[in-house]
Amino acid sequence: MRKPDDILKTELSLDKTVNLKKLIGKRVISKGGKIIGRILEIRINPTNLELEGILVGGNLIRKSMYLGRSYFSHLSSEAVILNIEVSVLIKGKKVIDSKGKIMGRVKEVLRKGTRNDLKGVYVRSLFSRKFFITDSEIDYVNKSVVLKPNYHATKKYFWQSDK
Amino acid sequence: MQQKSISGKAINNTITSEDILGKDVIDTEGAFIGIAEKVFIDPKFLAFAGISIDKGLIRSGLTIGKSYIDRIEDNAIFLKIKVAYDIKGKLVFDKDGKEVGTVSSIDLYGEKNKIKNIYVNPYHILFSFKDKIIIPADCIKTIGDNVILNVTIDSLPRKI
Repeated sequence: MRKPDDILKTELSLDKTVNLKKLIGKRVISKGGKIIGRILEIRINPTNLELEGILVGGNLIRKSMYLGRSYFSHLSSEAVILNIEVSVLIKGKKVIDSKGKIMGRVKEVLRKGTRNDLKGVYVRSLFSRKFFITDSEIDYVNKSVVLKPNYHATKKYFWQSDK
Repeated sequence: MQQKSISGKAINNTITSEDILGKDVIDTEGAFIGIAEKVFIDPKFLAFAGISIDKGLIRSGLTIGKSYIDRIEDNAIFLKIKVAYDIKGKLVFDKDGKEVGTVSSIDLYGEKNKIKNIYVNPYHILFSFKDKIIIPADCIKTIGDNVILNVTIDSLPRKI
């Protein structure tokens, strides 16, 4: 294909930009390399014409998600790499206290509004009622959710009352 | 009946091998590594040297020196490292997110938990007979669920 004529003011030249059409169907990868899904749609802001976010496809278990560009670390014609670990994907992870005791698994994730910041998680184990653990009680989240040593709440079994 | 003691010093705050064996071993990311199956004691200094971990039927066991153990708790043993060998089998993406392949083996610095190089089987199944790709540790940006490099696939050296 012949090189097109550039009609630009201050914008980047053609070779320095990414063809968004080619990005559809490409992978979205988290900061730690987890494959989040594939790009379904790329959305732009109709006012300032800037890229606003991407719609990532879901599957049978996981809903699709719309990720804002502030969470992008790198965008190329091959993939979008994020600068975060997506907090909604904590669901299903094991929760262990600072002594290594398994408290259960994450059943629900509560975020601060639509942000990726965690407010807390609802945890449940086989015989326990669902209980809430706040973000301040969580030491770190990675392969599991590990709680801080100050977390002392006892598991409440389903036959125990709320009081 | 109360047990008599001639330990020379108080051993009330110590733990026994029974407190270690059979416990879950958890790495710095909260990942379950395996179950403590042996305790090693230095025969000369009579000091605790480390543990061996049973990682199940499929994966080979692992020995961890005491310097890599963070703490021994009631229900688990916490490590202060992420085990370098666990990188095996992870997907490798280059700087642009292009899939490079899967980690097949690694080189460590001596017996330390520090990666020197990783060996990657190229991505495409049709090219699986082709050379492995050697990636020095300097080219690795992050190791998490998978590996992300700080270079592009074209700038990587290949093995014979």
